[in-house]
Amino acid sequence: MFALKRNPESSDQDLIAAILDGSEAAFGTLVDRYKDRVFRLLGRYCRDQVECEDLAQDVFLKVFRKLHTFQQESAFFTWLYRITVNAATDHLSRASHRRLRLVEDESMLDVGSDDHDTATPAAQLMSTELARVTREIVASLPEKYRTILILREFEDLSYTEIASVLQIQLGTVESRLFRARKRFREHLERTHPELVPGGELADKTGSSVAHRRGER
Amino acid sequence: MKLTHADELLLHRFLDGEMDSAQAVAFEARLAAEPRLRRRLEDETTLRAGFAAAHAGGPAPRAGFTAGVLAAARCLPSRQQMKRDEVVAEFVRTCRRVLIAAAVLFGISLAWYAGLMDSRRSATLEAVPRWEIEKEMKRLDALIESGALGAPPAERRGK
Repeated sequence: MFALKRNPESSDQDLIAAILDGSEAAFGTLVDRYKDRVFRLLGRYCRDQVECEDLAQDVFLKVFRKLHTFQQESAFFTWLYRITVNAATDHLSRASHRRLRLVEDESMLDVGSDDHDTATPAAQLMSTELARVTREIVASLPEKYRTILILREFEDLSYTEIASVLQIQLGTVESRLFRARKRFREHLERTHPELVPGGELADKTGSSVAHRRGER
Repeated sequence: MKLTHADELLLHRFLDGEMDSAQAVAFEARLAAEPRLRRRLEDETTLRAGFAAAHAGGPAPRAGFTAGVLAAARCLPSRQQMKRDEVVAEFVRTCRRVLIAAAVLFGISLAWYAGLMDSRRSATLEAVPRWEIEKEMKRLDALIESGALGAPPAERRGK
């Protein structure tokens, strides 16, 4: 038990086996390993820190309760993501009157971009505006389109991983993603035509996408 | 001019890094040869820049989050107890489903018995096979001819 705590490199399978044997330390290691990813994913649905924390705690407690049902046929994180997405969408549908509020705390959203140090103030401003509009449009999409865009564009999951998280066919992932992007583009054209590709934003922000592609 | 649906899917696969190297090379060759495809790729790349810009930020776990989860997990019943609870819950769920199904069947039977389920169609000649109608007509003709039903209406009027 102690060895597991001292060795954060233990595989997920080892940790799961230890948790099922009653090791609290192993569960702590598992939570530490995945809490950032769970928070990041929940943050795409809910921007409130307290709500996110409550949801994240619920997610990990559900993992703890249901761990014996995990089949180990897929990666643990896809199972965890499935629970997280379900928790987030359930939460949103319960609180549908309080629609997704994307920019409750501007200070939380305006951090972490590598481009900010080098970009001109105008480019920074446009990038911030583009980010705001993107979040706004994603939030307004139907749940299934929003989730698939979040998993692909923000979480960088592959089609296979998305299929595993959402328990759908690979072909469905591709077609749903295509429709989601189409809806996104139509919404952008309707509400912010000045940001639709072809404008000057292309030159200033396109490089970051290319950078992300290079990382994958 | 718009791309075909197949080309659109290929474009997204390419941008998402979902092509194997041979497919990617073939697609890059097409990009070099087809300006229309290249322009569409540039547009899509720009559109995706919004996601890249919105990538950062969001809530982060506070220090002590893990300890909080562990404390909450300690309050849960033991794993054996949870399994037992789950079995009981599954049994209750099954019973509930069976009861609901029985109630629905009972309701349908009651409605049927009370005559609420009779459709208009079954009361018309449409529902009866043609041969049965013909048989019935013959039987009625035979009855009329035999006089068992009394004189035909025309004869009665004549009298």
